[in-house]
Amino acid sequence: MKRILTFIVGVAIVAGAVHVATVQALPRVIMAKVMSAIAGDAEVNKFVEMPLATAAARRVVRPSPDLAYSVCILDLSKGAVRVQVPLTGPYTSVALYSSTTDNYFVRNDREAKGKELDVVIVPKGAAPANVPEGTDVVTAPTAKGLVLVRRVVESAEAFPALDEVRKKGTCAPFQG
Amino acid sequence: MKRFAYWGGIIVLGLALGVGSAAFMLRLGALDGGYSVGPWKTGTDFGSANADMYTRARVALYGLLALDRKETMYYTASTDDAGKPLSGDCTYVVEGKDLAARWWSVTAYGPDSFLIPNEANVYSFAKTTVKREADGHYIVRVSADRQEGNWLPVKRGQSFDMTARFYNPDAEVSAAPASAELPRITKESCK
Repeated sequence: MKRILTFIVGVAIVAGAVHVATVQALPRVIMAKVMSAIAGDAEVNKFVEMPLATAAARRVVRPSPDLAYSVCILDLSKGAVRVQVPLTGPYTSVALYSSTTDNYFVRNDREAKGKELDVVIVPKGAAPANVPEGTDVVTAPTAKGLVLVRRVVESAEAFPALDEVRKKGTCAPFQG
Repeated sequence: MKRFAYWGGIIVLGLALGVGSAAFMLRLGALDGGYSVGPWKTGTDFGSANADMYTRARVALYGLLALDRKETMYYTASTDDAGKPLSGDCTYVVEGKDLAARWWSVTAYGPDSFLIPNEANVYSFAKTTVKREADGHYIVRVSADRQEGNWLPVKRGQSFDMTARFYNPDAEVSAAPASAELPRITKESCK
């Protein structure tokens, strides 16, 4: 009798632990996979301009075909990173994601203080120094993560001009 | 040997039950986060740091790199207004007004959550691309067969779903997601 009870309790404990571990690990595992898929052999802390999504785009689920994405894989282990993003209409946003998929910061063109979105991303526990005026300072919850810039592409004809502007964006280590 | 089978049984059964129940929970409700408008379903915590572990895992599986609701709201429909699953063997009429947002789009996805290959290379309709009637509302036909006017292609023989994106939704929509107006989805014919 006791053996049966131990067996049931044992199975329940193992199942509970595995259940929680699986659900909690999934976002981290998927995010790590996506980051390496997007980055490929690209450098960290540098923007990569993604082509417009088509049926051939199979790296990230449910891509929006009306958005031009730029991605910067963040590695804050050596210090802060600054992101400067020129704006295009009718919508531009800069979103920061942690390595557990949380979206911990987002700004769009309507909230921009000037002609660009300007953000300094600081690792946990580090104090930013000499940050230019008008720049947002954000503390990242994890050292690894990514910056995702979204630009609405109004029509196929509007894309070439927009593409020229987005290439002027920078993601680079920030020496405060 | 008996001892080994006993403890081994606990571990194997625990593993199977743990992974199985996790998969069950994550499939349960996929992306219907709680609010619905007809067949369109949304949640309010996608991509937010407040998301619980199940929501976070579901987003990673079905909608990675989502934005929070002040920035974007996502509504997904996998059935028509009558509650029948969307099928590439049928033609649907999607009819509505501008969504209450700064910019919006409606995109069709295959059962694998990727865009659906088609000869027209059209995957969505949006505020700035949809052709409108005289009063400003739009009528879009969703079908595997080419259509006159607005056509959103899907693939014959497979299911699909549609995601409506509200970029910078109006304050009323983010405050009360169930109050949003979304297009009607009516089955017109099937093959």
